[in-house]
Amino acid sequence: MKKLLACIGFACAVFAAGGVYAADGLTVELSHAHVEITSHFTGKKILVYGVRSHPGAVIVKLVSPPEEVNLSRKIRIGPFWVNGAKVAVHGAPAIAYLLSSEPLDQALSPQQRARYGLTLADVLKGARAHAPPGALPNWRAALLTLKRRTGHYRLDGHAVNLASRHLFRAVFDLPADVPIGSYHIEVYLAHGGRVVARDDLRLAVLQPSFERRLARAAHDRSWAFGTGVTLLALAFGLSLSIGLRWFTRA
Amino acid sequence: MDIFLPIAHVDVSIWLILAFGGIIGLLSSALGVGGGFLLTPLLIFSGVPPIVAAATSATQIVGTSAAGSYSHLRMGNVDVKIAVPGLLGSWFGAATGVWVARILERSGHFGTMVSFVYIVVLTTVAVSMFWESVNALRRSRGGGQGASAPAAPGFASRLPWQMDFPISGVRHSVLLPFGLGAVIGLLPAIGMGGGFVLVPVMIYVLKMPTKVAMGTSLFQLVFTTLVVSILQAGLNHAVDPYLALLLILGSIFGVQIGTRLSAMLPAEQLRLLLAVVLIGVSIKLLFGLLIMPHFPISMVAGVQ
Repeated sequence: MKKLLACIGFACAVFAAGGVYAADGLTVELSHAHVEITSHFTGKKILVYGVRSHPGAVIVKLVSPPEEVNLSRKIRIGPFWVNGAKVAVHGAPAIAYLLSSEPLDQALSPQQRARYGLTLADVLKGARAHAPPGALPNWRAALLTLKRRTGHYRLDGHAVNLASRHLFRAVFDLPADVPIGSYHIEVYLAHGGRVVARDDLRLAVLQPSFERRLARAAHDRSWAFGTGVTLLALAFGLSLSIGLRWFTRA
Repeated sequence: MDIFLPIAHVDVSIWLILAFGGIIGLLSSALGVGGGFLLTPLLIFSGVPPIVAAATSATQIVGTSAAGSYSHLRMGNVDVKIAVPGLLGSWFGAATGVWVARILERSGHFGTMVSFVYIVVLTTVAVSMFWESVNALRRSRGGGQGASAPAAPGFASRLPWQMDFPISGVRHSVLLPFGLGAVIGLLPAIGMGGGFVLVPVMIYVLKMPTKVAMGTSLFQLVFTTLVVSILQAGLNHAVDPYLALLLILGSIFGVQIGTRLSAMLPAEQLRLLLAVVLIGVSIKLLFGLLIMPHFPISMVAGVQ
């Protein structure tokens, strides 16, 4: 509710300023400029809101940094279903949302969608697969299906809410397992099957210094990290047990 | 209340992890086992990637078994002389196990392999535990004599380097504990400490007294899982510190409850209960492999 009020307040300010929206066609803001992944992070709702100068459909595209993902076809050996050869996919975004105020095939012509990369298949353009020959030739389609099932890729033609003639808002959920980095958010205004205005935003997903250092150490200095954590586990178990015994005896 | 695990990259309930730790600590103190064989599948069911679950279970066992073996060491239940060749063997087995885990993880077969090994080992252990406790309960009701321990294999007495182990009151070749350690040492790489195999092996094959077997097994477990935990972090980047510390915290409290519980409940009844739980876990794992998947392709995020 607070966010919505902020959104309305922002819109009023824009109207008061006068003419800004008319010149740009589209003015957009985010409820959060950055998100911090602490140990308490269990996902976050992000609000995109703004004003449009002309009537028309609003399209919001969010693409996260890439993550490595492994796919494998389930094969049957006797009565068991086991994983077949591994296909390692690099460069596919961990999260991709394509939200709009009306279904994209109604809002834009196929040429315009292709030109601006407004299909979920487009987000996999930069992805590459390392696989044994013949393993999973249709990995792009499989990855799209699996990502849509987990909700990490989302196509929703009714997710952008047109609050009035000029105001719009959309909410997207960032799940807990988001990669850190800079997220690209592109907002389009479509009218008569064509894109008439566009605005780009960035959302920074950060890991606070302690957690980031921990994750980086686990990767970059893995032997020292492993020795440290293991000895810490040993000392922790031993001291807790001695302390608890001493405490219960006392 | 949830916590985000920085290495596993998932969020889990703190209370659930503390409860898992508590259950493992309870089992550890009441039955003299590490509990990794139950912890790894429980963590996998909670959404932790298999390789992180297996690796962090080893780290947790380091903490819990260090606490347990400290009490046994004070009571004189640890035979260090027989533990040393056992340890050398288990390090050899552990290094081989982690190396195999790395190859399996890279080819994408680690999760499947874990399921298969667990089904076989858990079912075998559960069935033998079930029979052992049913027989023990029957014997205690009938007032009959316990079955005598089976004799050590004949070839063992012909092995070279025989020596006396005074604390256990036995004479063996050093190759015997080394060889047994090497085979059982393969298990920590998939998250099983191996205590539940080591204790019966020490009692029945090495003919050590039960209390010394439990103490020595825990003592050996500290050093085996210590090496496995470091190897898993170094080679596979799979040890999650938050998960390990939470599990240890829960397990230390579980140990206190388990010690009191074991004084009230006979060990046979606890073993029977554990056997039923293990059969349940095996059935769940087996169903995962037998049921036709909804979608014929699986997806796992790569551990960075």
